[in-house]
Amino acid sequence: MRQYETTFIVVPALPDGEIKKAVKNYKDILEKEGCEIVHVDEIGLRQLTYPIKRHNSGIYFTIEYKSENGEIIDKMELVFRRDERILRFLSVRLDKFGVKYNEDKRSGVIDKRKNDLAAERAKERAEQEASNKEKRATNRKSQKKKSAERAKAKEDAALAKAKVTDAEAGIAKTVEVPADVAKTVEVPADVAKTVEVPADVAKATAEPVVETVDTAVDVAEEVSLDGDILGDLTDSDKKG
Amino acid sequence: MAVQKRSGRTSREDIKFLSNPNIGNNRKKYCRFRKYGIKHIDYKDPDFLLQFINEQGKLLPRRITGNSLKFQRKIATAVKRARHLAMLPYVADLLK
Repeated sequence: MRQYETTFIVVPALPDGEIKKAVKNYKDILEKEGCEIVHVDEIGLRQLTYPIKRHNSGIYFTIEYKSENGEIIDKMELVFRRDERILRFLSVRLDKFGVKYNEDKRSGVIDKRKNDLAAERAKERAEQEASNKEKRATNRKSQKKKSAERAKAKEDAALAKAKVTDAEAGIAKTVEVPADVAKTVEVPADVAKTVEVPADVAKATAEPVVETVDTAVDVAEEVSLDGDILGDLTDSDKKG
Repeated sequence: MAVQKRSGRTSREDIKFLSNPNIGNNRKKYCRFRKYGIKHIDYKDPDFLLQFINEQGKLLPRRITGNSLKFQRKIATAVKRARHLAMLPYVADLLK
């Protein structure tokens, strides 16, 4: 004995009795041919994902039955084709796993398992999200730190530049003004050095420094921008 | 001036953040049917099958779902049966 399963869709715009009659009709056909009906499942009214014969919804039924061979299916499908009330039908032979699946489904094991699986997956996802968040937070922190460092470097460089220009103007000889500034800047040693060096040399050394610092700051801007893009990406990832 | 500077300044650090850094260290994909011992795929369960098709209702490849070949084939037949029964669309847009 092989087990088969036939799913079919009945036109919804029928009186209730008519629908039951249609289902009973097919049950009778099967029983007449010596099949053993295992189960009749009424899935119920469902929205069709595309219209069939201008119907947008249908009532789904599934009949499970055992039969010696599949000859009955040809006969039954012929009746299905001739029946105006039937929108679609599909007959499938069940393997042992299919039989077990249907039994489990009827006894409610599948739903329970499904819920368990869903819970497990949700937990996994939550864990991953938490780790992602942590990573992103650390990333952001390091970026902030870096940008702060860069800002500080830029400040120092600007001060150094100002001093150089002062030196060029000839105030370097007096050295009174730079000394005051040096106190506020907290990097007196370096600044003092640059000031002591003759104006030309100081210019030569100071300029490249300034340029690199500028680029660093721009890089920082770009990095922060990318951080935003990164956030968008991860969001879309989650959706996907 | 600023534009010129910009082009000459893409360091390795910039490139690092152009793509999602989480892509590299993805978790290993696995076949959920093997892992959870699912032996039968029901064609009457469109919500489940929805995980294996894209927004247009097309089947997703194995390299994305991680299914083993055996169950990818079963998924394919199940999706096709579900389409025949109007539980899944043949063609769709913005399915998810």
